[in-house]
Amino acid sequence: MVVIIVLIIQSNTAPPKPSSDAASKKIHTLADGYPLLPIYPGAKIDKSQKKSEQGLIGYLSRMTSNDKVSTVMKWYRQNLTAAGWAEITPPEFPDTDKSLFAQFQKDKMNMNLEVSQEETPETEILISFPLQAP
Amino acid sequence: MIKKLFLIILTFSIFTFPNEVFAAASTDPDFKVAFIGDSSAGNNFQNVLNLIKSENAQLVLHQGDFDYSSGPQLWMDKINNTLGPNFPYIGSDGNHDNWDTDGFAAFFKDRLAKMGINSPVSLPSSYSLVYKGLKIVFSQENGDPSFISSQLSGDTHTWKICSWHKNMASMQVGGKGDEQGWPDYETCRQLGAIIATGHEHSYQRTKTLTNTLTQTVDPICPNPNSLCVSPGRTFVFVSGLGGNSIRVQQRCLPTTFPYGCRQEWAKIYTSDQGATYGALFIIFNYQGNPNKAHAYFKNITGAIIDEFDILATSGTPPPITPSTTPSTGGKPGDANNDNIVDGIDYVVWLLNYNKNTTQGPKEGDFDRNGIVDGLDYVTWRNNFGR
Repeated sequence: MVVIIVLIIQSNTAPPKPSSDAASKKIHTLADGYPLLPIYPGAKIDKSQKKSEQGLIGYLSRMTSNDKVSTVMKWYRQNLTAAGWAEITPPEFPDTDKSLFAQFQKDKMNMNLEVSQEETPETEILISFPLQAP
Repeated sequence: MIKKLFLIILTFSIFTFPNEVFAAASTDPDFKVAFIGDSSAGNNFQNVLNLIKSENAQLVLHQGDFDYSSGPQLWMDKINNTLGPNFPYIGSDGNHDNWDTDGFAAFFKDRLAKMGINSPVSLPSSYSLVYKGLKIVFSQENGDPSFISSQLSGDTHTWKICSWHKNMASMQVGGKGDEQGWPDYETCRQLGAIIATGHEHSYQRTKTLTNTLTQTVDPICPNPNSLCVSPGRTFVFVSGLGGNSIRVQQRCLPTTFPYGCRQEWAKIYTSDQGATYGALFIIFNYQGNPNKAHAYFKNITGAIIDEFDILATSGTPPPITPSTTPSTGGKPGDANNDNIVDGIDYVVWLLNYNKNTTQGPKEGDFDRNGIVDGLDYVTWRNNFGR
């Protein structure tokens, strides 16, 4: 598998400061061709998947962070917007800390972002690109 | 002449059908139930509630994860304001729910009382009830097979529902792991109950399964849109598009029918299929047939995404690996060649009724005249129980 190295994009929009010291720059391993995205500082990637069918391509990545759900979602909303992503569906209760969902779009590319805390202490960050034309 | 004879016999049989087949009690006629899960309490949930109201559902079964910390009172207010404070609405405990401390147990206990059902002072997350003839068993998080067994063993209701929140990895197409436990699934299958779940935020439904653990599709009831439910076989669905989020398909690719894995999935509806929020509706005792149900998943834009029928019978499950050749001997009316002429043979006949076949008794053509017809029914009827 070809590995893509994605550098964290540090935004000038003064996001909430992550708790991790490794926030500034970190190397993440994502699936081949994974779209360039801001990656939450200190987030650990534990799954990345690419799928392709009939000329359509989709991606999925699962990361974890020790920060709160609302903190992570706020950071993504700021940094994705700064990176040119339009927020199509904002989270319904952005200040809560169990499960938040938002949808973004850039250059006709759709992306789902779900940040939640399940039954482990970590916060789960699920980023998915449903099957779509490349 | 033959058709007239058949109609007379069929009419007569409605009133004299063997106890083993029609002793069970069905639901009220055309009893419609909405199944949702994973809702939160925002506008998406409101849209799903509006859908449920517009579809005239008579009961909501919520497969857990109610408010997601958006506020239990807000969640309850939305239900009260949309469906009414007395509307039958009950649910399963989800991993994001504080069953007791957030007041969900009290909320459901109050609903049960308004439905005329007594419940313990403190409603546990494993509980059961019968409402309008529908037997419903809720299993707590991470499984409660002994409770399920105690509630369903010997139960004579035609339609039985097992409801819980979590999944086993193979019983969903997203990223969920093995959490609920196979004993819950297998107990409900063995006792002939439909299995309703949530947790994964998408919609998916299996074909008729004779084993959930191995995802074995019933070889004599394989039609993805005509399902069979009886002791030993059932189907499983995840209805997790109640409003919180929508996820992609990770397992059993490709994303189009007949899908992957073991071809056990009849319908998959995730972000990859362009999913939006919605609910599964099942109408029991459908159009005058107490053993038939009609189901559909409808999203909040009004599109019907999935539609299928269910036939409930009693009797023993079919063999998982039947003979691949037509039976040449055996008893008249014994379709599955298990040496007993029972309800399952009737189901085989019913599923193949009016069909041309060269398979003989294996497909319900007991007189081997090449068509499954009323005369074959008479053969079965005359030999039932032998």
